[in-house]
Amino acid sequence: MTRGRRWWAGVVCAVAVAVAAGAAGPPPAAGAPGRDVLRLSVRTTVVGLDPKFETASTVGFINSNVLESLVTTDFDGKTIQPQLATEWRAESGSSWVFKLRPNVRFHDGTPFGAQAVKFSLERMADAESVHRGDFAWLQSVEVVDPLTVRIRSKFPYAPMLSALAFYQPYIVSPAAVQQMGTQFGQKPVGTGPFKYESHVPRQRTIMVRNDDYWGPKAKVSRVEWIIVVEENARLAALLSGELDILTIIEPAIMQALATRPQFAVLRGPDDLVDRVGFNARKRPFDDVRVRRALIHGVNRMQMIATIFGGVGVAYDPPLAPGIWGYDPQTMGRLSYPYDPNKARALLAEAGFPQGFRTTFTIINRPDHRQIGEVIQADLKQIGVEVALRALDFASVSQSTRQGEHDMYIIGTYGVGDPDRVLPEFESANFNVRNRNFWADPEVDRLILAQRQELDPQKRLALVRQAAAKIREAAPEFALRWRRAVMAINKDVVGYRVHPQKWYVRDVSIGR
Amino acid sequence: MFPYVLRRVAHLALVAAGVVVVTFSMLHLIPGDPAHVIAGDFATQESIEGVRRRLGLDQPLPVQFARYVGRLVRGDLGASFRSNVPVTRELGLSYPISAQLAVYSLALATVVGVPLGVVAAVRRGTFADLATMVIAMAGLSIPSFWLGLNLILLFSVRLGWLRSIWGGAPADYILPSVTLAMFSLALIARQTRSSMLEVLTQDYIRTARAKGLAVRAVHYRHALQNALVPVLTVIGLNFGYILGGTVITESIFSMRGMGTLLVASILDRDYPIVQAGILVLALNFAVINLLTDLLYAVIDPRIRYA
Repeated sequence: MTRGRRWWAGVVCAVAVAVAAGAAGPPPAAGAPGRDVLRLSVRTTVVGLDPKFETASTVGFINSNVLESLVTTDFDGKTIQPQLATEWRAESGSSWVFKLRPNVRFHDGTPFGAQAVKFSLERMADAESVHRGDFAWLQSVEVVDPLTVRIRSKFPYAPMLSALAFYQPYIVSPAAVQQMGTQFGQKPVGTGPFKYESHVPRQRTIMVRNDDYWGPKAKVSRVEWIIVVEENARLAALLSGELDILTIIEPAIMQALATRPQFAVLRGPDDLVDRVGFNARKRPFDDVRVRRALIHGVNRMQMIATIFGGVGVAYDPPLAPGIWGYDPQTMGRLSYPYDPNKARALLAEAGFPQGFRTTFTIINRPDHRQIGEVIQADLKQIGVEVALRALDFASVSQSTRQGEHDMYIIGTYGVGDPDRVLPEFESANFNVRNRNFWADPEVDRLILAQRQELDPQKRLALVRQAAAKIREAAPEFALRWRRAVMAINKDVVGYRVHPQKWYVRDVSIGR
Repeated sequence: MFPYVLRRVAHLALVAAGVVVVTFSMLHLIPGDPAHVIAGDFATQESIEGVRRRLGLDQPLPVQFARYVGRLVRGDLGASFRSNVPVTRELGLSYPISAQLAVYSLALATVVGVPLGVVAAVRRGTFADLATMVIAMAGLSIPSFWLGLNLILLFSVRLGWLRSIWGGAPADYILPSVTLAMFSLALIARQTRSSMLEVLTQDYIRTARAKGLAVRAVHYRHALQNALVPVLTVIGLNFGYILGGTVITESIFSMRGMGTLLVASILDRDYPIVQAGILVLALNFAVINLLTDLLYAVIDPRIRYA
């Protein structure tokens, strides 16, 4: 047996050596005094960073520290604040003049001015831009003088400031775009408090402080955005001190952190909502009674309490509570609360006393599957047999666009201007943003009218009229308006949750 | 041997051509349009057309295929649809990660697995045999996400010795390699044990013992060498699999290996990356198989290739 014992000892030694070698590796920097690097985890893959070619909100959020726009929104996502423009006024319904901030330079040293604004906005609206549709209103950008631009719209366009404050129409350095060509998306150049240092697609993005920033300088010298897809791995990395902030977390992490005093959970308004739509062009969803019945059949309160960990509120589309025009007085109570008896009665009235079979198109990922299974179970109670149709994002997008679906799940906007969501109810947007294939001439008229109405009071009335009609027709229902929930190491001070930007300029680390 | 190698290399070219055709067809057969993914869910038809034109997807399929093959034979793999980054850089970032992972984890699995298997075979029926087979069973049954997360909990969270997020340092490979090695280790140990047991019953082993050779010399010089051929097959196959990407381990340790890159690119319909990535992996598999076959001859002189 001696030989055997010697052999086992060898294995033990080998393991010990391996472990010791590991111990010699770079130690995690948790709690080290005077730490100057902020590390945040991102859950979705970041590939390119050029605002012209990216639609992912994560990219826009990260970019908000490096690139700036004419105006931005406050932490409520609604109130417009100056950024690269200092003041603005409407000359008429379709012509606005913006005074630009003087003495601002891009990270490449070139000066910021009217020419850069013209270049950047026209670039977002050109034929190659993926945002061309969002800028369909843009007529022209004129250079009045080096620090003044005039933006004209093709028609009076009330949501213009909101559109300019979004996380995409950032002002970029024309010189850098011309020099870097297609590689601009690997290292965009703007005017923000940080500048990009390096970007490895699908892995991490690193930015460093811009010491020439026009406003208050950033407090940390370096920020690392690291893609960590696995939720448990993110939690472990937060606990071990490798990460300081986890952006957007699942309820399970909130529970895990509840007992650990070193960590906190931050909440704020979110720009996302989870909604379920019906294809109103298909039977039986062309009948409003069927649509209402199904909404009555889904127990949203229980869904929020269980699978969403208590995060979020149900509401009636189109206006989530974070959107301008939402009225807690009239919209605070759900139009179609959970009521299975009423649901069955409505189904019987519509000619489906035994219920029917239908499908629910979802993206094949855990949160959608969970939502799908709960809705499936709820609707079974009112006799509706739901088969889940789980596809990848590209297929869902294409299939719902072509109207092949029965029910489907979508996430859209939850803060800001109502015109960010109203296009989903216009007949002109069938096959594009309108996947419910429901429309109404009066609603079309109201949506168009509010878009062109510059008087806030009059506009508010139009928005609420349109909202009331949409609520009544129930082409879709909302599971919840989300809350942005982030986990943070308490060593990190000064971070505030913003629904559309992940601003880290004022964040510092220290004890 | 040389003509044999030449013939096998010629086969590689055939495999490559097949992969090019099959990958291209499959990518264009599955639903989901890259322009939709890039332009976003809410894009107007006009935006989508713009993206299609930019990427050359507005051309008829035969034209697209001809262009792709034309660029390929000139060694141009194109650029990612999503990032505009050359595919060579995208693969160049991921491939070394998977390759190192494959080398480290298989080295570990072999160094530990082969001796475990030998001991189990030689001491068949004893406690050592039982213990080895329990380890092997555990290695086969424990899911990598469970093992990986527990290693992180122990070595990163509890002890603070190693990082859980891969950052490119040599030490960052330890936990993922151990996680991956467990499965291969189990396979190698079991394979070594069973082929050793088979060899140990052969006449020449009895002869070797009878002529008075030391037991250890019989086991390690005579038996093990002959038992290694099937073990080599297991190692070669596992090497190919790990190179092809181990999505779960990669995602637990936040590594952008081949698995992460390919799965994300398939979901994004990023044709250039998927086409090039699958081609590289297929060639890898073929080359490793060839090398494994050649190694057989080195280990076992009875095997000859003509």
